[in-house]
Amino acid sequence: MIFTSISFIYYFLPIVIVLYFLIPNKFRNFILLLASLMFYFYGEQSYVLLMLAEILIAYLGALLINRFHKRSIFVLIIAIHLSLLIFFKYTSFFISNINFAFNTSIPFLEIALPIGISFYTFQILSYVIDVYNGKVPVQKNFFSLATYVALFPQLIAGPIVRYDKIALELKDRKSTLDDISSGIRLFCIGLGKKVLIANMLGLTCSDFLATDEKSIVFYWLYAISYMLQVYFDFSAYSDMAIGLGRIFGFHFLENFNYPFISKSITEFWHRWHISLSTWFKDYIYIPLGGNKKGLKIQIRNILIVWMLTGIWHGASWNFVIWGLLFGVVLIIEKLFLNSFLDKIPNIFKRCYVLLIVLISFIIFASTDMSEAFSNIIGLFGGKESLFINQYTIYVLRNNIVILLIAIIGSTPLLKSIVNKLKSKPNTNKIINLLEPVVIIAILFITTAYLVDNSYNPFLYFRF
Amino acid sequence: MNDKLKNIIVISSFFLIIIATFIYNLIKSDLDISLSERRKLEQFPELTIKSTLDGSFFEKFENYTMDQFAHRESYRQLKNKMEMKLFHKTNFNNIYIHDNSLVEQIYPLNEKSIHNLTKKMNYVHDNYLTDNNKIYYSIIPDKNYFVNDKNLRLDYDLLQQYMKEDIPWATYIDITKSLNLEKYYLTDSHWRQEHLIDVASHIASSMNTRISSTYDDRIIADFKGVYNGRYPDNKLIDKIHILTNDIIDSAVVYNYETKEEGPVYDYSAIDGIDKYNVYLSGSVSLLKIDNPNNKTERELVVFRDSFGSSLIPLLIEGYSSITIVDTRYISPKILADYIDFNTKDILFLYNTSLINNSSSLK
Repeated sequence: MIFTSISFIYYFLPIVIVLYFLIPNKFRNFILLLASLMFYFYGEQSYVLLMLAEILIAYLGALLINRFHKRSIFVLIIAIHLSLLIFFKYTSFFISNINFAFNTSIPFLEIALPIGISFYTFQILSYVIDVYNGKVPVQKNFFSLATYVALFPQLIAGPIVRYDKIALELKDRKSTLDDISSGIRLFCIGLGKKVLIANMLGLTCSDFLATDEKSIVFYWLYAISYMLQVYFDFSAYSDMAIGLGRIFGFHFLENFNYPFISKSITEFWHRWHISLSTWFKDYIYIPLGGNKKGLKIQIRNILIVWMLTGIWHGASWNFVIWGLLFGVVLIIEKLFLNSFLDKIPNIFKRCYVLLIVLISFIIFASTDMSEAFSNIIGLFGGKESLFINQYTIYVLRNNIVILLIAIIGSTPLLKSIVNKLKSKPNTNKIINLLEPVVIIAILFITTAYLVDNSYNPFLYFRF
Repeated sequence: MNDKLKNIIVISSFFLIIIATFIYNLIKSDLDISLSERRKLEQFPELTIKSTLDGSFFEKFENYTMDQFAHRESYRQLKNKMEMKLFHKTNFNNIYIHDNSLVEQIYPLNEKSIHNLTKKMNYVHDNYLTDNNKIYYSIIPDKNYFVNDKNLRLDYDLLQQYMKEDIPWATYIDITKSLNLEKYYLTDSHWRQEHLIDVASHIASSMNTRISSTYDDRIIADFKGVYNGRYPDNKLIDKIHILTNDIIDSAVVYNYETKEEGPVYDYSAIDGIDKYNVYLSGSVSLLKIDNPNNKTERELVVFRDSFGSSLIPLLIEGYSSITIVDTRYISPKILADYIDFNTKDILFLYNTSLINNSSSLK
């Protein structure tokens, strides 16, 4: 089930909300767990058992780790979860590479990727590692741990919620008026970002990929649209997840913080998919030595982390190269570029970041490197000599409004205006008056798009 | 308004909307069809252990929730309005309004499709036709042909050029000068029979036969065409006219599918989803019209699509019989079982929309 569907908003959600707020506190986790399993079962009938098995292994494993403090148990539990992730996500990738390298013809296993396995596996790993390191107390209640892992707001596309961040809320939490209201606001904003902006940008990208009538301007239009689409798609899902969590009394950390205003790639990754980058930092980069063991080790660690970040996004070489590209740029920034960037105006810093990110997402979007290369050189006239053609003008004309909304929406401009208005009592009243109207309007408009829907993919589901 | 009151309003209105809509969707009765979209709507799927475990229940339920959503048509209109007014799109579902008429943007030119059509025409020519046959073809432009605005258009010259190159054995009858946007329905892709007298006369004279231009024009029904559902934010309405005279009234149509004889106009279609089917019963693979008033023994075979249904009745006077073939529903390979092509005139009559998307042809 996906958030941006009629079945979720007008069937699943009202039932869960009514049940959740009607029953006593002590049964609420149980209701959330049942709802989450139903949510997952709706789209993954067989793999719900896999997820439950992984939760059970993590539950028992953590209890054993807590009791015996043995490294062997810890390694075994981690190995089991990683093996399952590798088996389901990377088997086909390995087979195709072996077949290519050794000219063999090992048959593919035709294994479907369980939705959300990358996200819930990382949550489980963080829990087990934190228990082993004594950072969090072991969870003795299976249902509480299962609720943490399977919690439907963040189950299938993140953000990757760390156990220590919600351990207390799993035990005892309150849904305040402010929480529920801000949760609804975030959910509806996410809904609008996904349905009204990301999906439309996606159609521009589909138009580009489907046509032979390309031009230099169209290559740029595609690259910008795709970069914005990924942002609006994924940040929308995070908004909805955080919003839903807040309605039920959980406080997940922000996952995106206007990444396109960054002035360096280092800053970009402090603003983009924050839950993933901090996960890799805390569980890979720092344990490997981070920056404490000299420059060479630090460079090695950065490359390892970014290769893993790339392959986490998908079992394909373009993702590996995408990750390594960022790794290399981050190393260059650390070595000397940052000191140069400090001396130039912000506008140039931002252009530099946007260009790197734009090119990286062309690699991200491509099915193979030849397609990526073709679309990158297309930006600079390497594929089409025509600067603009009739079809590009048509697509541009039809998408210019949404493109401008997306560009403005990807900056904190609107947020800072609203915050400024809220800081004054008189204008705060107007904002308070407008807020419910805007929220309900977004709900109705997105409903109109969902009722008559033909294009609604979530890009991050494949991870 | 203070923060607390705002929070209460946000929460109560959001919860009220989703819960009330949920309840309303549960208690309201489901619809069988969408008249505007001319399609059956998904019904509540069968809930079994098998359909639950294999996921088919959930897939169908997903479609069910969209199809049966309360006030769905109003939401579709809202989406249409948003796209055109707020996002300034030039069309919605490839449909736009020009001069109060719904027009479909058909684009781009599909060369493979054109060659697919001409390949099938060549098959008919090579296997059934001889020098004894006089062979003609005409291209019916879609509505987009007459508009040149912000939307995209086919390269009609190139389309004609491909046709001419691929079927040099047929004589082209250019009807574009007899047509304009007003000669098509406001809400449908088809042309209006009451405006086709000039076109029919031009085609008839090009085939060296004559037809009268005296008809009774009768309005038989209101009509909302196929574009109406694709562009829901419109209030346009058409009327179905039929042109009759003694010759058309006395003609007898034999339907090879039902093996029954009947009149040229099928009035029972007025009660159906597509009222355009009143003309020659709509989508039928093979029909033969006998005209007892024509003693010339001139016979015509028309290979056509749905546009032919409203035009062909006007050609009846010029022939003692007209055989009407729609190769979307019958394979050209078996035509010899039904048609003796001998000395008959042959007319290929296709609209640009079908020419550009000919995959449905057998």
